[in-house]
Amino acid sequence: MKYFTRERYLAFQNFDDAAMDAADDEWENATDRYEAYLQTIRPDMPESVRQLEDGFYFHDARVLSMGRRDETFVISLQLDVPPNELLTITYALAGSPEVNKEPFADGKDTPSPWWLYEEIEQVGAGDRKHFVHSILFSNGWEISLPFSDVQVSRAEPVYPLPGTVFVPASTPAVAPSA
Amino acid sequence: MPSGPSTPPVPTIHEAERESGPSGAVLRGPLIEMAAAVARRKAGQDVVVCGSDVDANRRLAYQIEATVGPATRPQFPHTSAGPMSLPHLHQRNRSPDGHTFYEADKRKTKKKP
Repeated sequence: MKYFTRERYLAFQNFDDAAMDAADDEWENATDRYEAYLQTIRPDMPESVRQLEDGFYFHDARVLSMGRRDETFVISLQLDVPPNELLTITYALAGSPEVNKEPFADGKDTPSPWWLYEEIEQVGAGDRKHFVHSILFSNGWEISLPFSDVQVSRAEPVYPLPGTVFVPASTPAVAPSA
Repeated sequence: MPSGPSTPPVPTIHEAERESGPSGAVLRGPLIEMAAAVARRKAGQDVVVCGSDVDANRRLAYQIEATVGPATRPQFPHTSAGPMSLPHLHQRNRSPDGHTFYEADKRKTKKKP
């Protein structure tokens, strides 16, 4: 991550007003710089990448699974915004994914991670041009996925229901109360 | 007569709901009191703190969320969310569901139709 880094995210931990204001300003600056960067690469984005960038509100999405098979990486998640769609993002890899599993100090409090922030970067040129999707998760994990193509499929949820709480394997999942 | 120091604006608490889709917008509903906000959050519903003083909004939002249970640090939206998305807090273990949003300098609610 270059803009929405774990350090900038952790800066919100300090509840002192002056520190929080500084963290807010730093975050807004990073947002503006990222948006400016996106404007430079948006014209070259394939429609599928543009959809990934613009089409979904990923923040606070519950990550249901992640996995790799050969040159494909798949993430399944449930969006936090109504109607809480289920998404499956399938990346055609253009290189090896990088997975940093350094946890946040309070990462153990999150029984299943949710999606915090993401960035898209264009790398290479000509035939070697591809994109990298970097994602920061609530447990502190970061992944960077170099990809040449991406597909997003969506479905209305039958399960899990919005509000379902996932708990560690020793106890069953809890359905939301009626 | 010289004017004294101005009274800081008092934030207000409202029912809230998320707008569907990628906008991230928060719709502002009726004004509610603190006790009703906490009850609403315990029921897994959203609330929003509105006002012109971001620090006051944030403190009140944290007070609401911390009364429900262990709360996250403020979560700030980024560009994909659009200018209508608001910073917010929620429960660390996501139970109950929902968020306490708060207005910031450049990020405001939309009035619920």
